[in-house]
Amino acid sequence: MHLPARSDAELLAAHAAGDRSAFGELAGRYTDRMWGVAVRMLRHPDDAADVVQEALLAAYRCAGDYRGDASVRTWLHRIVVNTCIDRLRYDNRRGTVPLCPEAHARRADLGTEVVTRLAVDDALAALPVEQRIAIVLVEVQGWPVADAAEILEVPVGTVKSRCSRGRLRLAGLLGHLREEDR
Amino acid sequence: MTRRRPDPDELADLDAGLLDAAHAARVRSAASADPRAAAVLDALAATRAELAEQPAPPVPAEFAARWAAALDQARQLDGVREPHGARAPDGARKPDEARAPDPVREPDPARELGPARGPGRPRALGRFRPGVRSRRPGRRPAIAAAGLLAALVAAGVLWPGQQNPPARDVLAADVDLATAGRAALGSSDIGALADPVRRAGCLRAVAAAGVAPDAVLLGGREVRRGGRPGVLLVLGTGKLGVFHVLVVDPACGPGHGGLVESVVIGG
Repeated sequence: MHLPARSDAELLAAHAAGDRSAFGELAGRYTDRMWGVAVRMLRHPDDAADVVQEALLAAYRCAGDYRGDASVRTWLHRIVVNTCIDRLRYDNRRGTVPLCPEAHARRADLGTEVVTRLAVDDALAALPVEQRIAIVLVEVQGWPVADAAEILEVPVGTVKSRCSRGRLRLAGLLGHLREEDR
Repeated sequence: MTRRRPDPDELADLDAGLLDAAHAARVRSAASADPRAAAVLDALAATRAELAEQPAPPVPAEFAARWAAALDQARQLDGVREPHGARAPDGARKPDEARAPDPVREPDPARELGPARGPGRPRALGRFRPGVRSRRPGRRPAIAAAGLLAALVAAGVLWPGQQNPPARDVLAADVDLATAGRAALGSSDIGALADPVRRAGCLRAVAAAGVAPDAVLLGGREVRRGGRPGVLLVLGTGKLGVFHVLVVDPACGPGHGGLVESVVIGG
C-alpha cells in the first residue's frame, strides 16, 4: 500500500520537528523552478547557483519561522526572488552588471525588412528589475497573477502594471512590434 | 466623431486587464478601426506566446550536487547541535522573527564598506566575485568545496581553521549600545554578515525601523550580549554623524531575522 505523498506544509513541519529527510523531499519539488527564476534574473549560471543555494539554506534554517500565511511554494519563491534582487543590487553597485542591449539595437534593414531580434534572455535582461521578475513569474513560469503578487508582496494591480509595461517593451525588443506601430 | 487613436501604453493596459470597464470599452472601440492598434495588440499576443514557449532551463548536475552537499552538511550539523527548529523550544517566536521575508525593494545605489578579509576566511556563501569569471571546468570542485565550507560558516558553527568560534567581545549589561557602536566604527569582524547579500537579507528580515537593507556598513564586530552570541553592526543612515547600531543573531540572513537590540546614535 502506497502512503499518500506528504503536502508541502507537512514536509516543512516535519523538517522543523527534526525529520532529516523532509526538507530534501520538499526542495526536490521546487529546485527546478527556483533555478528557473534565478537564471533568468541573473543570467550567469554561477551567480544563479549561488542564489539558489543561499535561498535553500535560508529556507532550511528558517523553517520554524514559516507562519502559513502563504503557501510553502510561495514562501520558497519569495526567498529566492528577494535573494536575486539583493544580488542584482550588489552587482549594480559594483558595476559588474553586463551591459544590456538597448532598445535601439533593433535595426531594420529597409531593403529587406529584416529586423534584428534579441533573444528572449537578452530582452529580459534589458527590462528594469521589477518588470523582469513580474514577466518571469507570470509570462514565463505561468504563475497566476495573484500568486505572483503574493510572492512579490505587492498588489495584484502592480503586478499587472509591471507585466503590461514589460510586455510592451519586450514586444519591441523581440521584433513583434515595429517602431512605426508604436 | 473622430476617435482618438489609443497609444501603445493604453493598449498594453487593455491587454493586461488594467482598464476599468468604461475605459476598456472606449479603447476597444477606437482600436477596432485602427490598423496600428491591431498591430500593437497582435504584437503583445505574439510576445506572450513566445514567453510562454520558453523551455524550463535544466539544472546543471554540478549545481544540483553542490546544493545537495550543502544541505547534507547542514543536516549533519543539525545532528551535532540541537535539532533544527529548536531555536524557540517553546514554539514561541521572537517578535522580530515573526514576519515573512521582506518585500521587493527597488534598487538604489549605495556606498559599501569592503567585506572582511581576515586571514584564512573563505569566500562566504554568495560572496560575489567582481571581475573576470573563470569558466574552466577545472574550477568546479574547488568552488563546490568553498560552497560547503561557506555553508558551515553561514550556519554559524564552523570557522575556517578553527574548531571553536573565535572569542567574542562581551557587552556587559551595563554597557550601552551606543558606546559599543562607536567603539566598533571601522572594525569589520562580522563573520558571514560581511557578505553584502547575506547582510541585506538579514536587515530586510529584522526590519528594524529606518534601517534599509542596503544601509552602508560602517563597522561591526561579533559580540556576546546577555549570554547570547550576536553580531553588532554599525550602519549609516544617510545623515552625517547619525548611525544605526544593531545587534543581530549570527544566523541572521534572508528570510530569518533575529534582532537582539537596536539604537540610533548621533544627530
